[in-house]
Amino acid sequence: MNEETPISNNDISEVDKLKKERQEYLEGWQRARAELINYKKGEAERAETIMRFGNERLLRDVVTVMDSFDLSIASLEASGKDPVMLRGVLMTRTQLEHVLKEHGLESIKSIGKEFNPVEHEVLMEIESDKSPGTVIEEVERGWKLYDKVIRPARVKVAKGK
Amino acid sequence: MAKILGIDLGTTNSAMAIIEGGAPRIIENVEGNRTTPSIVALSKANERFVGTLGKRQSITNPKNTIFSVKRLIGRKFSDSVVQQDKKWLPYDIRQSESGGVDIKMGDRWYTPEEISAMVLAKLKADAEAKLGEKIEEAVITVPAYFDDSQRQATKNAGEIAGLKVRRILNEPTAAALAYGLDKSKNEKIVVYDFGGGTFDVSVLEVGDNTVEVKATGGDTHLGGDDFDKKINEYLATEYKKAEGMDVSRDPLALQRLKEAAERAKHELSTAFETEINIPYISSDASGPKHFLMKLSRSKLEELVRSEVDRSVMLTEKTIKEAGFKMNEIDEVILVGGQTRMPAIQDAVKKLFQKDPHRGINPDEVVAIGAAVQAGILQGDVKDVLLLDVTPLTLSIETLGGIATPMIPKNTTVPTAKSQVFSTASDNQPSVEIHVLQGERQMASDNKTLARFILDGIPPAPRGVPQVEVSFDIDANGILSVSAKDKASGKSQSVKIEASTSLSKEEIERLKNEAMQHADEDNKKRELIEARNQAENLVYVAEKSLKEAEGKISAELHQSVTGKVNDLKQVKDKDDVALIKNAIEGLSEELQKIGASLYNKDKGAEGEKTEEKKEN
Repeated sequence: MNEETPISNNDISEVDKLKKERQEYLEGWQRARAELINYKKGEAERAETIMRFGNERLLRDVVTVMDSFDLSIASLEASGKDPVMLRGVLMTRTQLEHVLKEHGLESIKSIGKEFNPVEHEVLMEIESDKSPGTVIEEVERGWKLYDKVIRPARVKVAKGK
Repeated sequence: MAKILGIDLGTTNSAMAIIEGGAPRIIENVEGNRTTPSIVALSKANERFVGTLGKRQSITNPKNTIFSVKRLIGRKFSDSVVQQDKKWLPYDIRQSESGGVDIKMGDRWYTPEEISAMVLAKLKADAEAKLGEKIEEAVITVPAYFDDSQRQATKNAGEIAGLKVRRILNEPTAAALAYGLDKSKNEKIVVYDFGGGTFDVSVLEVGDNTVEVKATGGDTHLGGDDFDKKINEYLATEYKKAEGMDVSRDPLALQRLKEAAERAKHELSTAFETEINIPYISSDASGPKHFLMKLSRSKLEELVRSEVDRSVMLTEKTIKEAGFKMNEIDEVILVGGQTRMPAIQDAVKKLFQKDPHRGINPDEVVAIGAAVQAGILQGDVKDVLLLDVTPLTLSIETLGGIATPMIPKNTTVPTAKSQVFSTASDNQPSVEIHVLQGERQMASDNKTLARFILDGIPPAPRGVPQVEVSFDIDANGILSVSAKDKASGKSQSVKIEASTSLSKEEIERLKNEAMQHADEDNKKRELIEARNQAENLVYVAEKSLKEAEGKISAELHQSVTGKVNDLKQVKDKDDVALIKNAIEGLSEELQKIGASLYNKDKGAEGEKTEEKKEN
């Protein structure tokens, strides 16, 4: 049998140093792995958001076209001159609404509801026998893309007495 | 490890960002927007709303909708600025016991710190919701001209919101940090910040690890909102001229006009003319009225000329106050949404005779810079591994002298990649592996790193042997290239130490060369690829003819042979189109052999299996 070589203090500190270093490297590696996995998850989420909200800007603009439809219908209804034309424009608007709905866009119901800044933006207060804070009139329709309000309904609200 | 939030606490809007994976990223609020109005309101139903929601009820609740509190924070009530602002702010303010400002919201008086804290608390809560972790610390930015009292008050606002404020950072310094300009030594930087409501200009000097503010200037009541107002007024006046109608009393018409004006302003940053089209804007006895008008970029510039000129004048003045000359300024940074306007960019460029930095979204650059500072304080995870990238593409030479990339440039190392190649001629006993570095398409234009030969490949028709070539770069940038013949198991390899150790200049030179020659190289490559394809097809065709001898009609044999000869004649010419034509001609003809054999003969399969066994 060989004589056992005594372990010097130097060796011990060297071992400690290496252990510490190994731990550091392992942790660094784990962190890097974790970061990659988390990044992938985040990326998947971002891709999902882009899928859902990628056309948000486009839809925001389309909504202003819908305003013009609403106004032209109101104008045709008021004049009562051209019922055939009115029917055509009404149908076109329904068609457009249908397309927008397919893409996750829906208008916000506001009239008769209590004013809620999550969905409404108040433009003025008017005298009314309704309880104060009730939405009396919708000046411009509001729109939601899935759960996100992309334009609040612009409304007139009952004034407190 | 808890993250530190970088916050741009603005007069009109605020934004926040965080360092994620080593890079700053803007965090959206819960409403899904990248900026949050700095507004706090107590609604008529006694509910508190912060941000967009506060804004939506502001028109009918002006007394209890608090905005622009940044104009008041940390100031004495007797301060002339406060006295000026008091005149137009719709909410009530009074002198506090300590001589500061108190703001009335609902039945209570609040300090500006408390109001700012409500904005900060919303940002904190939204960031926590988005990130799914607690935020306890923040870096908050303030204008460079803020004095100690204003800075302290901002810090207090953070603490009230439950944030430990690690640093109060100057906004222009944050912008410089976002562009990484803090590392450039002895540079003079001008930050031109044209926001929604305020215009700030700052002159910075970067020293050793310090950024010193040499001078500040601007106008606290000059901003993009003034531009919007001017456009609105112009449109309303034009409409009145044309239709004789005043739209300013109709809230719907006004709202639609405002939106259209804002859209027009944005469009004119990229287009020279835009159409403002608002059908049914109003109506009178004669029926509905429409608004249709063209607005040109030059008209818009004319409308806001005085504002732009004023900002330039203030910039010149500030630089003079800093004691610098125009030509001493090294860098110019544009901040604030209004700097997207080409007229402003041109005016700044003309003033300094240099292109301003504007790669980062100007609405977000300050928040990004705050996050960069947060990242420095956070001292990201100790980097055990500093990961390098390969500066240039590593490739091997393939048939016709083409450099076929194995590891593209800017790939983070360590990395490995392998690909199977084959032989170019029948019974080829060896392959030469020529390792190259550079961006050019042809092997001869790139730098040779190594060459070695793998021999002992068993005799086989061209294209049959499988030689696997592997590139492996370790963390120290040492490249190992090996080639292995899958049939014989024979392999050869080489180690190249200096694959990443090129000087910066050399790398730039090589990249530039590649860019200059890109077109010519592409053409050369296309020609060679066409020739390779031609040669391959000739080989296949001749082999097929031999195998099909006697099994196909003499007519077909002759026509294929004719096409083969056609291709042979053109394949070494320099006309790519000609070669491609001949290839097509032969391919079509060749398919007829297959079709003809398919109907007659099915015995060829046995032969093929045998061939495979040989490998």
